[in-house]
Amino acid sequence: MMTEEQVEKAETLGKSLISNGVSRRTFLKFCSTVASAMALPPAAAQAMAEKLSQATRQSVIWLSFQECTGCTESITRSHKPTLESLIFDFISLDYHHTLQAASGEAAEHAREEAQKAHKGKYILIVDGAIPVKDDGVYSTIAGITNLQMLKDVAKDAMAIVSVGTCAAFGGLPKASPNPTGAVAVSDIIKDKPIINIPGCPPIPVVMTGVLAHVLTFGIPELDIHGRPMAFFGESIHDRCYRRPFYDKGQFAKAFDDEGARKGWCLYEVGCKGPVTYNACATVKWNNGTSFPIQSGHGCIGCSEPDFWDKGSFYKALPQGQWGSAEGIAAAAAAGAALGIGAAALAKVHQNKGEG
Amino acid sequence: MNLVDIPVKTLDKPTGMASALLVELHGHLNRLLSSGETHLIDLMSLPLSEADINELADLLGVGEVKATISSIGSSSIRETAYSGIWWVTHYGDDDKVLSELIEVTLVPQILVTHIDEVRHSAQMMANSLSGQENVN
Repeated sequence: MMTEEQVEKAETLGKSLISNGVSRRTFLKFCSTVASAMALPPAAAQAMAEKLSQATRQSVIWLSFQECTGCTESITRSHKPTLESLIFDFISLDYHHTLQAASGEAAEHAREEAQKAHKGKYILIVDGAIPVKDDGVYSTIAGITNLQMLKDVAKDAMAIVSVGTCAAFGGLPKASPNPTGAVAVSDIIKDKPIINIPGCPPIPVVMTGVLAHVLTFGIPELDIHGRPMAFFGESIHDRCYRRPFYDKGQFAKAFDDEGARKGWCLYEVGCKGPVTYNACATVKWNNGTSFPIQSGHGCIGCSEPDFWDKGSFYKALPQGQWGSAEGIAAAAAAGAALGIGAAALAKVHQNKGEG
Repeated sequence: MNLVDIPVKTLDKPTGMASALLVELHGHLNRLLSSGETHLIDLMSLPLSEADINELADLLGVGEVKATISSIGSSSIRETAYSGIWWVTHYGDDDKVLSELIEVTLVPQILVTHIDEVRHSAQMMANSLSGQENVN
């Protein structure tokens, strides 16, 4: 971690990476990958590479509250250096109580020093919900409640990134009956820009992409739930490779029927893809191997607020909102452009905050 | 049991997107000719099936230039049979495709040496030469 004086003299990322053997072509390749994942105009990669090369390492303080550490696992899972992991060369992770070597008072001292040295300039990343019932006594770190630590660290942050559905929307800790009074970061902090990256866990390249965007072009465009439009602008259903079956009215009725074996749409067995906004269908998981629908299971909607309390994962979405499968099939047979219409309907729901 | 034993079938017929892209690329080639304007198309942002990608590759053909870059995984840069249209594929170190671009330009950006690196290499060479002088 740098002192205030060292912060002033810090060299640019471009110089420091060349010295460490990371070429500009690697830099450009990273930016091309991020730009592609974020659906930025392809030419933005060049501009992003130029801006990143002129930037200095960004101080980041990462606070983990009521969570399972799955979000940290997701972003650090690689056992070998990957292009995505280059993001760790662009930031200075000054406090993360799971990853850092220091513990106890030394760890808390590191956090306080980082806050002082980068006052008003650091990015605060939060994973986990914050319990507020009984003054927040249900989760503490170093004797400080999560509630108090969030307020203390947020006040000098440049921006806050809520990683995972727990930090973004309360997630599982907030699920009924919510015994600890868990809430999202945005329920407590009202005077700072907050970017929500929900998902249980979020996709690694989504976290990488958003951080790279903040370092270069600033806060990305957000939807009504504070999620970057680049990754959460389209529903799983919009980009699902099984979408042609939906449009034709071909549905699996059970997980072991002929429709399931033929890879038909999982809408009738409870898929929440039509009302879930995330990039799983395009970016995919496990190094791009697949995503839940590709593995034969419907989307459970984990990047949406209160997904745990919205009824069974195996119950079809309510009729009226989406229409019955029979109705969809009839409309498709009649040549109606229902697929496009359904996507437009989802957009309306998202814009109204009903998504 | 292997993956191929699981009887799940998906659509694998071209959808016509490749022909549509060809029309778009023709427009960009003409703009490169008339004003020098370059263009990039991100193939991963388009809803292309594997069959569409294969059809597009067939339609564009193979040109005379092929370059490989090695940096945290490889990158393959190929000029297509249509001069000025390049197919750029970036791979991760696990050979996963990270991004796939069609670039309409005289030379793809990733092949051009950055001026900062020229500066760095000039400094490195100066250090090397002064080291040799000291030895002599």
